Amino acid sequence: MENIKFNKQHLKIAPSRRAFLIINTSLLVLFAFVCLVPFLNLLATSLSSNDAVNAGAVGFLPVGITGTAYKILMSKTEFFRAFGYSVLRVVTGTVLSLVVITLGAYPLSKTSSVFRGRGFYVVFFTVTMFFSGGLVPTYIIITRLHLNNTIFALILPTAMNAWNMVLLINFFRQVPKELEEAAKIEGAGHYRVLVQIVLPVSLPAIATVVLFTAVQHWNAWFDGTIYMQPAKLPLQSYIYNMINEANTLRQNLTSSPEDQALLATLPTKTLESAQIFIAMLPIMLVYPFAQKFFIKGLVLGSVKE
Amino acid sequence: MERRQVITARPARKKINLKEQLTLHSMLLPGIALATVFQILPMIGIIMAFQDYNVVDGFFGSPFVGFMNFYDLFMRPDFMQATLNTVIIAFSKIVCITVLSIVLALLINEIRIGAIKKTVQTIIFLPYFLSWTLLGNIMVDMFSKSGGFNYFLSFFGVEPVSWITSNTWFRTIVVASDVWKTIGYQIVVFLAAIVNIDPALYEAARIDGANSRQLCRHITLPGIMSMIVLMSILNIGNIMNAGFEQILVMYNYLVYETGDILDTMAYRIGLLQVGQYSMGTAIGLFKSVISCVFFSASYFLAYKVKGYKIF
Amino acid sequence: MKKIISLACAFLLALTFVGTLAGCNYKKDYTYKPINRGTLREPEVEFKTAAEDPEQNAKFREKYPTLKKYEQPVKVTVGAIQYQLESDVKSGTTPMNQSFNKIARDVLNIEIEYTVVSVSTGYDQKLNLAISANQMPDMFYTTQPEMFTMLRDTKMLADLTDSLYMLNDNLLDNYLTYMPELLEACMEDSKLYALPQQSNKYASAQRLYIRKDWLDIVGMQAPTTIDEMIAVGEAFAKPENKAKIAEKTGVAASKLVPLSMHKDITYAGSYSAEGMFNAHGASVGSYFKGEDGQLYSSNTSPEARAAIETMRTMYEKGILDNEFSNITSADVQSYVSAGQIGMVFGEWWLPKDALGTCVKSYGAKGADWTWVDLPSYKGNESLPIVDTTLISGYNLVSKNCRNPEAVAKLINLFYDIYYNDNAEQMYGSGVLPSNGFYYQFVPVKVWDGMASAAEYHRVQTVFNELYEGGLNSRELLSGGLSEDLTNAQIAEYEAGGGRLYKISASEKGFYCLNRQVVEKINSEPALKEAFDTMRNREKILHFAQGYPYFVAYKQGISIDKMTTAEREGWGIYHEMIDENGSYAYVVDLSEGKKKAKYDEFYGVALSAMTDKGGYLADQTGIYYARIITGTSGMSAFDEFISVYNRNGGDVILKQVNEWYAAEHASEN
Repeated sequence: MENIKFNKQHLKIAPSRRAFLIINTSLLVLFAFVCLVPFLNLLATSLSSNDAVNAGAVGFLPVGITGTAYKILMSKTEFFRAFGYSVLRVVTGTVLSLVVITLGAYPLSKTSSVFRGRGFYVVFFTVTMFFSGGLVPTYIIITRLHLNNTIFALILPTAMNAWNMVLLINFFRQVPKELEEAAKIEGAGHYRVLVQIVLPVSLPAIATVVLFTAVQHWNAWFDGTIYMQPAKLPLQSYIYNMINEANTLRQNLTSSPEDQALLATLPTKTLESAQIFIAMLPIMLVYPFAQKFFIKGLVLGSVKE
Repeated sequence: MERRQVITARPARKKINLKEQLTLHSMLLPGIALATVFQILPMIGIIMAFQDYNVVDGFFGSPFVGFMNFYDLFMRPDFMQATLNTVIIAFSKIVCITVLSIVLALLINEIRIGAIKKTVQTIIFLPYFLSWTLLGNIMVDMFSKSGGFNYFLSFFGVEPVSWITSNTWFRTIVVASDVWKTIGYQIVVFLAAIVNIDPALYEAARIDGANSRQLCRHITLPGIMSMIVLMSILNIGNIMNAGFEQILVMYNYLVYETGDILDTMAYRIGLLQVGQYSMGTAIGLFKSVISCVFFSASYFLAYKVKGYKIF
Repeated sequence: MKKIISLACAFLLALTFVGTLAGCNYKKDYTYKPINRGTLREPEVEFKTAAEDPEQNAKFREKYPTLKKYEQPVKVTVGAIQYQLESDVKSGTTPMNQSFNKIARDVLNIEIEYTVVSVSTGYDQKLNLAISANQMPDMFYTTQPEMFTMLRDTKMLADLTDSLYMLNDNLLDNYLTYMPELLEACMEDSKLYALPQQSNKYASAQRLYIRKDWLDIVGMQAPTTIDEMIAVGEAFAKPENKAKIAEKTGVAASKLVPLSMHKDITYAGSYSAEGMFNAHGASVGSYFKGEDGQLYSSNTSPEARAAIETMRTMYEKGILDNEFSNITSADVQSYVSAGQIGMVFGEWWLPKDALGTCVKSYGAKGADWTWVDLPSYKGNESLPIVDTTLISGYNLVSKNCRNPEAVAKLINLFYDIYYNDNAEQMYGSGVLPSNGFYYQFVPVKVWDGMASAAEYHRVQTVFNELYEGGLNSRELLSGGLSEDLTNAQIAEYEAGGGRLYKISASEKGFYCLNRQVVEKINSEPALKEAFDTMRNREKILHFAQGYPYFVAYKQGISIDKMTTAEREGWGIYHEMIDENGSYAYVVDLSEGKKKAKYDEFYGVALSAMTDKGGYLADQTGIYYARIITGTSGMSAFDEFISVYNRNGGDVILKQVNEWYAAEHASEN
């Protein structure tokens, strides 16, 4: 923002530059609109009548406007429970991951002459970045630890993310060593240096990692379907199941009348869309503000440096 | 960068303070513990790739078959195709996203109206937050024969095509929709890097009479170069990750030829077919080894060229 | 970094070395090892049903009681699928809090603990993983034959012979008299390792469903041959006909599709290509007996080729949905509901499913369906293809379970509640859906395999008796039979001695059977007698929905002249009650009045199938789809045959024939 004011005060704008700015801005606005199109379609579907949706008559505007889907949705307690569980997961998962990664990144940002044994840790974490044992052994471990159907099954296995740690290590390295030295002369230990010196100047990296981790947790669905019982499903697993339930039912059901009756319990396309839309809504509402904070954090970080 | 090199080049070696060392090690404790339990320990499972695994005998009792699973795998005509698809799709994604995000970040940085700048940035970033679980279904609808994309093209007199089932177009759609979804993240990272550039540099350049294009080329671009290199390196490690969830929700029989990737293949074989864990693990291990090779190569390159250290 | 790489290399080299040493002589053997089924152990007391010989039955039941309460509480762990609730079930019901648990505790002293619970998506996966982690529940239900074989072969299952004899008379009689082949398929060395689901194999028989009003518009008859079907399809596809249909029904002409099916070509089910394959004498994944007495795979057979060629032709002519490779069965279902589809193949339940929705929405504009047996191809009789032995699910009990017979007790308890009108008197109000009983949540269960046929016969008879008995005034019925009553009204009516039939919960209270109609029935003994032969379930489902339609239909009222309430009953009537309806076809097949063709291979996948089958199924789908859509020429079918055989088709076929020989040797 700083250099914008700067421009206005000191630079005369040439016509060719003005043309570029106008075209550039309009194209980017158009591009942004295209990015929005799928969401408009979703909203229109959720507000349309079932017949219109089945007939494929819904584009960007609702056809046969009705709020039935939302009315039904309001009484769906499991949807809102899943929603709450996802929020819980994102918060606890992100905090845990952030603590673990920050603590780990600090010593690893030192050179191996300062931190003996660094080489071992580097090899250790590199291995975890590229090899995984796969689902079955991971499942066995989680079950043996009795973590099934607890939130820990969702947040512990991914808490230590080496990729995110690398990002932090690189930022920590750029913290001026003089600051640390000064603090140490005053008698501060490593934990205090980390909290009082390194973290405040690394806010952009922290913000990035928080965002990364939070989105990962928000979007994860597979672990939820494996480890959690229906009452504790996170939102994405809940929605994944909902979208795929029709197909699963059709492939697994026997031709008995009892099983066939289940097909009548499936949600309609409009109800599906309404749930997806509501699932996205808080992000759409919260994100613009969160982003402001996020960008601000980046700017602040740079000013202090 | 310069500053760091000065520090690392410092010759004096400090004496080792044992307590200080222990403090540093203690900081790594949670990370090491979690990684050991949830990432290293399960690697025992890699042994399945060399076994004819069955549940009762477990990891230690199932018969060893050496490279039989890999031999079977390499004999499968769809395996090589899946490998190739993985690399093609992942590589296209990396290139498109890197190039486009740099361009878009520079262009967005040029917008002079704060509100528009912020709005555009916000909107472009938005899809990043949504999972493929939700977006994949929307994409399949959009690119089907009766979908919105054909509706749009019909205004230009283009005959409708079933894009999502076409081997010619499937990869393009996968890459394009992934760019749409994830590009916002990299744009924000690059924009943040641009903001981080010292304003004094611009001021100095302007006093020397540089125009906007020159500012961009000689200050902004070099200023974010280290970030570009870092992002590219991180991305190249992902050369074997073509996007499991995305493909899983978007592909269909007709486009296995161009759309099936190692992850979806491993999923179909290892988890959907009872008792085929070994084959699934073999595919996963193959993928990991190749990833490792790519990452090492790119790392060396970055180190030689830019003197960049990741760890 | 160099260290990392050298470490990684060393790691891989070590793996290579160990692996090579251990496996250098390994070659997988696909020879079929015959299973010695043995014979079912006879009960210690001879079994006779109570109807045949009450005295003998009492003796038998003394030895094999059905619902004897445990003296000490017994805990069993189970797996359960948490389906969506049906509308009449108390909201918030889950497997864990369902009333069945409490009833089991009170009646049997069995404590049910749910360890593997999932919604239907992912249940199999979750069960797979639980087993792999040695956390298998004591008893559970699975539809996966592969899981059953794996557990049987690894000796993880309990022998259920005694449990079998502890099942109630009806279920036991069904097994022993009507479906002995089901038990045999679950046996090895004279031990019974599963209580298989009693399913009617004929229920999967395919038929062709056609829009009757479209036929009328184009002036054609329902097709009986493939050629006629193509002709009808061509007529439906003509722009001028589409315009006429669009004008009549109000659905956009561009949306109309003569014939639809979903993308999973290799999967048999509703809205699939299975009916088309059957019409040509093929069925994907099936094995038929050739002239040489050996089985052959239908996937690569000339019949399959003919079916593919027909579909290719239809695709080319715009008859077969050009979108088919992109749509799921749920999509087809919604298109059918939306009145866009002219023809689909499917099983008996389609009328109450999408066809009924279609009639409900578009019936006022004349939408109506008719159905025919599979059209014949080149003069050969086309028969629906069904399994020789159909096991659609297995109730399994872990070897480690201390009380394996609990499975029989739970199944009996479920049967008593679900198939019994007096359950409320026997087990209290917990048996009502409105109090948290949901039959789908019961962890182990066996449907009564003969119940639906009995239901069909019963309801059909009752409807005719009621009609003949004078309950045939449209004035009384055309408004529908459901009436929305508040709880206060219900209490008042019941206090006055009236009997109410609650259909489902409403916002005010309950939808109940129309009091006026019930009173009229009760006032005439002949009507009342007929009415009371129906079970409660049939009264509130078949009668409440289907009867008004039945009366209007019988009086020759055309669909567009009926009231909305009458049209509601179209689905249930033509499905479960109509003597020419869709379930009637299943009953006819079961009773041998119509013929079917049989898939000779049944039961559990053989080892070669497990290893190679997935890939082959994928390839089958890919090649078929390519040929049908014209991406590849018809000659690609030859290429497919060679790819199929080279990549495991030969190995599988060899094993299948060994299996066939072994099965038939044990028969003789």
